[in-house]
Amino acid sequence: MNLPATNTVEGVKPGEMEMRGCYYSFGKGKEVLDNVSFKVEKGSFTCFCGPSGCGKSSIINLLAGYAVPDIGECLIDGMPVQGPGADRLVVFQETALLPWMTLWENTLYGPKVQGKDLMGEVADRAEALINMVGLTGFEEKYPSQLSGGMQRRAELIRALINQPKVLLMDEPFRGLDAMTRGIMQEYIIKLFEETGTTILFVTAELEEAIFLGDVAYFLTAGPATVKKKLLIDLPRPRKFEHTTTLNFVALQREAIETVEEEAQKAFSTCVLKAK
Amino acid sequence: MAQVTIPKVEASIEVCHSGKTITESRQIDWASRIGGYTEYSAFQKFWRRSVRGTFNFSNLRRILSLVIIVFLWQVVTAYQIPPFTRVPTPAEVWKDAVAFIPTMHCLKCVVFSMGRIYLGFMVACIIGIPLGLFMGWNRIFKNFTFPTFECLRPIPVISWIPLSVIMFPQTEHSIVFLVFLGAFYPIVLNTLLGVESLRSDYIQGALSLGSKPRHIFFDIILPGALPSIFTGMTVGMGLAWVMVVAAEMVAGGYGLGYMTWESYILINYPRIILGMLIIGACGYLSSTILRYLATKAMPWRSLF
Repeated sequence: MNLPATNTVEGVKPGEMEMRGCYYSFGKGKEVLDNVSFKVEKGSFTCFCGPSGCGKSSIINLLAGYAVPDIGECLIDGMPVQGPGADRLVVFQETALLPWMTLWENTLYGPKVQGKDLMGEVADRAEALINMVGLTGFEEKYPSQLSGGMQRRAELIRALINQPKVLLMDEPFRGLDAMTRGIMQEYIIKLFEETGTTILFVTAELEEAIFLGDVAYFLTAGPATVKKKLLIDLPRPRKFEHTTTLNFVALQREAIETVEEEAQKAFSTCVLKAK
Repeated sequence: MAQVTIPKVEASIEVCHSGKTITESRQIDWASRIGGYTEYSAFQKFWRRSVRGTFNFSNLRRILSLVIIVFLWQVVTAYQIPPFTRVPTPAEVWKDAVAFIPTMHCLKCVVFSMGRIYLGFMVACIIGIPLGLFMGWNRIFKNFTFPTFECLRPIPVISWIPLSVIMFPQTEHSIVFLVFLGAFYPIVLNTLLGVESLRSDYIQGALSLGSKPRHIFFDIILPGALPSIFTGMTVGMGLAWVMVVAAEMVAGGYGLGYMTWESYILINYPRIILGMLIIGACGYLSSTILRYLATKAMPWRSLF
């Protein structure tokens, strides 16, 4: 599986993101975030782990600009977030490719609405990206004609063509089978290591977070706050072989211990509520 | 049927894992796995595909059910079992159909009703679809329009007949207006529902990519609501036919509804049933056209 080197973020510097003391709730006082602060460094791969329903997606929504925190602020490159923008793109849990557009139309949708010239350079880049994720020949297919893994890859290039400063990924591999997930992880690592885009990656899988990230944040059960910041000092480029090293296993153990407690708490509160 | 043995196939499986490619080759004996393979002659193929495909047992049962209904109709009318004492028999209706359908009068009735349907339905689409889309798109617009809409909607459209006759001096206009009303409510309501049930991911994603409101409207909301719009149009078409027949019976002047009612006045009972059947056929034709338009308008939905 050799990916051609495509310099997708030529001339675009990776961004940094910061959240300062954010409180967020929705509905009738359901607290989701409780004083969350962190900083995603330029060009780093930062993972967020936490029990399900703890508010991981809310962090993405706030940083993407779909929601506004009750207290606190979200910053991108030191500037406050004001609404959604093409500098930080979201890859959603469920595929958000537009079902009524072909892969090619979906890929070029960002440049189209931004009023860019769709011929020439943009088309070349789209072609290179489609080739990079192995979807050449599927340009005229609709999303429903693609398999789950293909849809995720298509979604990735739909974001990448806009050369975002930051990629926000909200459990992008959820629901994929183990094999496809492995391949997708390789893609994303390769992509990150080639382009150096800042990536914020939300996942429920600890191993995935340790395997992919430079930094992993562990969140408490809802309302969420940062429980632990784990620096992952595995060498890059990352290989699957690293998952069996002592270092990896030690990190994994540390992560499991951190999360175990929270998972128990989340589970027991669920049971109490059910009663 | 000749048994054909399939040669063993050399299969190569590529396994991708951490950048390495392992190529595995082995012999697969397909023939023994699927227990042989049967080859059919040209006639057998023809028989299986066309004759058995069309006249299979399911279809035969379907045809039989229709035959039984016509037979029952014959029985109850021939023996004059109440309440069918004055209902004409199938044979009488058939005789009348053969005499009536090729005439100009029949054609004129069909053309008049169809024309009214077409006009009223078109106006209902042209006003109703944008109205529904805007209601779903803009909360302020919905706040202003939806209450009025919801107040008028429970009023049965039939009860508009007297008012519409007063409102429009020409009968033709009032019939078209009633057809419009019949189709209007389901179209607006379904369009609105289609917009509101659109996944928020689509809009959020498009916003992130830098869409302006007009892009959201034309690229996301309109195509996303299309399936519901067509549902609304199908329901609306049904109600349009209800309205055209009712309005023609009251207001008169050509049309299938008028023809059916006139036959009752003239004590031409077979023609009543014939009128009903023609109305049914026309209604079926118009929904078939709609279904065809839907598949053309939404190529992404009919792929499998």
